[in-house]
Amino acid sequence: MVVQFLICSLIVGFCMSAAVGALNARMFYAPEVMAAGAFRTLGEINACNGDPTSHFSFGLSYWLSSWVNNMAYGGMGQDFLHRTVPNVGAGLLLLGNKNREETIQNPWKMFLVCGISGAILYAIMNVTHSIIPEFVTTRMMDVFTPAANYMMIIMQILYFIACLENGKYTAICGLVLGAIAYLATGNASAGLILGILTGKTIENNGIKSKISIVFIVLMIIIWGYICFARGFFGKAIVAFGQLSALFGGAN
Amino acid sequence: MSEKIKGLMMKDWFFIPLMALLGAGVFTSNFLFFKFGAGCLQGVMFIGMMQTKDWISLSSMGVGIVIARILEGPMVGLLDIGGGMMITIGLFAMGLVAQLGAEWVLYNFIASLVVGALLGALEGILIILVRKLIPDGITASGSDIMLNVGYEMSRYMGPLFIICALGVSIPVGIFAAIGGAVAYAREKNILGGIIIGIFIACFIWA
Repeated sequence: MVVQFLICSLIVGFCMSAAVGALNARMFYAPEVMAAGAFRTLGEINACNGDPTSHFSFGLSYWLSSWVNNMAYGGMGQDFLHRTVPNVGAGLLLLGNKNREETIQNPWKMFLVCGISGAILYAIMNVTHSIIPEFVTTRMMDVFTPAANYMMIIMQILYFIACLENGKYTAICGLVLGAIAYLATGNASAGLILGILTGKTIENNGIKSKISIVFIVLMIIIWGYICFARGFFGKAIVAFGQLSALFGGAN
Repeated sequence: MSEKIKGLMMKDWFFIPLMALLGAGVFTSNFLFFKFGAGCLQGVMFIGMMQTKDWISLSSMGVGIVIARILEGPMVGLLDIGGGMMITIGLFAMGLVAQLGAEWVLYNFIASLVVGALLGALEGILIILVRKLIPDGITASGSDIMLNVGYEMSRYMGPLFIICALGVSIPVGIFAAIGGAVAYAREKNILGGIIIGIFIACFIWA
């Protein structure tokens, strides 16, 4: 079981770390080449100024916190791919050659070095998880599951507030689409985010511009389809059919 | 030889194979989580949601971030890995695949790798298409608002975890609070301290 986990972890870790390394190296040539990564990763790599020691201490300190998280609940957060992999890879490359143009900014070298170091770091984090007894994980989930459920409500409230505070169009689109999204899927955030996008596009380009009309039609199609697919219209007719006692219903 | 591969990797279209590789890794990390209980790339909040296996709310939560990232990424030439890959492939696409009746994919290593690679390549193709097709002058709007909400959310996480820990049992709650206080005193993110506190308490007290 542990051996199987180790092999799977090495493969998965190599796949993603190698790709992240190459994509991060392309980041130095953006926007001419399409890259992936994050602006904060770019800033942090530049801030280390080609010094391997600061790359290592930065990357490995985030690795330790990812490790603790992975031991605790089985997830490591976004820091592993955003901070640990590129910084450890860059530090290893700079040990041999101080020239940043030939090392960090070379996708092929980053691909190899990040892939191998990331696979090893990822496998260490995963394999050590198996020494944690089962009951600890179960008990931690007693805390995390209710917290995640509350977080869902808080997230919807925060998106609602963001809708209401960013202008008239955003508020209207957000309220309408959020309500539809909640009724159709049981979670308002998807509708609220699309409402922010639609509202801001209308505000920036004018309601009669081509892109605004495209957005509005797209929203009607998307949400009409989701409502239809999830049987919302039938449920709505049934719900509206149940009149209260005041109007002669059975209640 | 090395220069040749470097030149190949710098081509604009080589974004697609790299995305396929990344997608395979990210999608299969979910397989590791479901099969062995560790190795997922998501944060603590999404882990709680993945445990419930409520695929519909998982995928519907991701859809807004997916659209925002796919529109924003090609315009700045930089796709955010957190939103554009871990949430797009790791949550949204996983929820969609499971919802469409292929839940067995999440419990099969090879199938996870293949499906993840296909989804990653699809996203890469989509992004390159958007990059080529979208006319100049259209601005990606609204993503700054969403970033603000994400930042606000991370502020709510610490206090929420302390409250939930205090509700579970007395030792767990006290250790969570102590962990948060220590992390605050050392000027670190208090969520990390809270999680370590809960972790230690869960070891000792039943």
